[in-house]
Amino acid sequence: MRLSVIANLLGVVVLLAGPPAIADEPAKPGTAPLFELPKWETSQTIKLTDYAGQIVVLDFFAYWCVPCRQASAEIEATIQKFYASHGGNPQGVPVRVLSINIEKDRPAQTDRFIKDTCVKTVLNDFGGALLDKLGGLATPHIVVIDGTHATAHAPDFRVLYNHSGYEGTRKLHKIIDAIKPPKEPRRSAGRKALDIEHATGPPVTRTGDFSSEALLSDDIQTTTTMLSFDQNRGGTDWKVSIAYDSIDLDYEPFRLFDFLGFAECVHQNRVGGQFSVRQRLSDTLTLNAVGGGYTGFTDFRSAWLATYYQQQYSFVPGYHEPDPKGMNAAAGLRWEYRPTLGFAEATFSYAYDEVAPGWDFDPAAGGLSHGRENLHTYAPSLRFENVLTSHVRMLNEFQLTSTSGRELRFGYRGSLNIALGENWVCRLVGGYTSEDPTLRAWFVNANLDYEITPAWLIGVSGRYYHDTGEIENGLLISTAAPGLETAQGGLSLRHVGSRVSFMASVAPVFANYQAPAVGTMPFANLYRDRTWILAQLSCAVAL
Amino acid sequence: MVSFLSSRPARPRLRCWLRNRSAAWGRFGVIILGLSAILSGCSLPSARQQRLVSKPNMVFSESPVFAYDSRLLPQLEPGAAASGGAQNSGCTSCR
Repeated sequence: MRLSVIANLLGVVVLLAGPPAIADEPAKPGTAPLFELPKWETSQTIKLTDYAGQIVVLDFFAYWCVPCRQASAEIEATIQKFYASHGGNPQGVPVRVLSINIEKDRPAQTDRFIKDTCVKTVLNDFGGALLDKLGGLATPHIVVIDGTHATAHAPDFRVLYNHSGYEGTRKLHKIIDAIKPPKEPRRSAGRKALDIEHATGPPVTRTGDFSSEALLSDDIQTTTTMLSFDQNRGGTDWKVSIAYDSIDLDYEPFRLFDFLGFAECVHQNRVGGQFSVRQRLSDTLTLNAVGGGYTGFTDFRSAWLATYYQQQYSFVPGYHEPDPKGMNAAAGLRWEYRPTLGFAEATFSYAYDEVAPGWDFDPAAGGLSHGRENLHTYAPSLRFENVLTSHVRMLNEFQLTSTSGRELRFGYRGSLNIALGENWVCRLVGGYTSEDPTLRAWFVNANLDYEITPAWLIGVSGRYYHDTGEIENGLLISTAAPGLETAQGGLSLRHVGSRVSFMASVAPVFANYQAPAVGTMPFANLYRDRTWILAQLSCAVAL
Repeated sequence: MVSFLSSRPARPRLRCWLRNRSAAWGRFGVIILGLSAILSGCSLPSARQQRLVSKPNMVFSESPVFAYDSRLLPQLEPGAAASGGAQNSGCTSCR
């Protein structure tokens, strides 16, 4: 019953979000619009009718379009130059590539794009009239036009391929090689297709990422470092990551409530790995799967609490050292219901964690007893990403989390990215979490980036977080954190290079707890006010 | 005798998803429906108008260079955790 309600809800969402847009219908024959466009930085114009009897490939690009860079370079090298050097396609029909720039502003950036990609014949479609006529929704947009039926008096140009997105040049070669002139072949019939050594399949991109982060206070230092490798080939993307985390504590018992405890330097680490795969099922659907595992403490609080229990009970028969570890798996479906502009994603996650339990004397059982050691967590989530206007991009995320022995947790997070002009970007994030009976948490986050040059950005950020305190989990002694508010302000620097990009940021974080309840007093030193420094460094390299 | 720490019996988990959750599901549904209704009415920028929203700091990227979140901060802020089993549940040492 409830499942059907959920299904209906999702169905209504789908209807409200609009019908699935038909991005492009490749290879659907149609008549090409007869355009006349000016050449880049000259007064000369070029007409489609200039290419009667030939095959024309249109490559729409903009300098800010990341996949256009690879598409334009490969099309120029393996279509334009290849067929020019072989005297046309296997039937001898000449092939011409026309690269069409849709961006009017920042001509210096377009010049750099043209130089980097070595494209030769560049036309301007600043108004986008031609792209609109062809139904192009995004760049790169690639069109193959068969002009073999056209003459100077009968401009019969036929569209054989019309696609937003780049699928590699192999597909273009197949279409071009199959085009035959309507009358006498210019070369002897039966000639084999050209040996296309350099034709490319779907483009392959490989990226190596490094990121490291530290959260430091005077008595607690925790770091996380991650290395990952990502490969994307056409519709398949896979990523493997390994992570190393460290936790260092100057453990200090709260003497008034802890007579057995003693100061101790604690070091814990955590090692984990993740593997994820994304497989494009169709133009609009992508399947996602993620899996991974770890061993070690996941956070400094559990390391602190485990130290407390170890000092209290390690000499008591029945106690055993904690050995936290866990695994997770998730699967989801991403639906691009408005090409490049609107996405919906549904994911179901499962996590199994073996945690460091709390310990207690249980006279009824005649000895030590411990709390829950295993947690099973199930979390369905929904994400909606939309470009609302030419200046605003929005992401909404909803998640339900069910964990062993706890009430259902509801989480919402909304992000709004706003381009305030050519050089300013404001990113706003807000989130709310609710778990019965008492936990309520919310936060707001704002970043303001300024583009000094296209390659260098500086940013300032601010964040405020508030919660009502974790849910008391004991009758007399509870490890639950009291209410917390944090305030944060930071600076960041980013560099975006053609191969190497990096980011560095630093932010002080002021954490203020409410006074702990009596039951939480043994952990008063854990839940005391602190000033933290949050430092981040990351780097991405195109391999 | 009463134990220091309370312990709740484990419940069949999948049934928990579907039982007595009408309030949570209701809130979830209302928000999603409202949001979708808002978004479906928006006009869409054409390809040539997507320059600003295609900037690297305007997209929601997985690249660490354009990550605006901290992976460590959820250790401090239990209500901000967005993923992970034990950590997401706020308390790893709970009974």
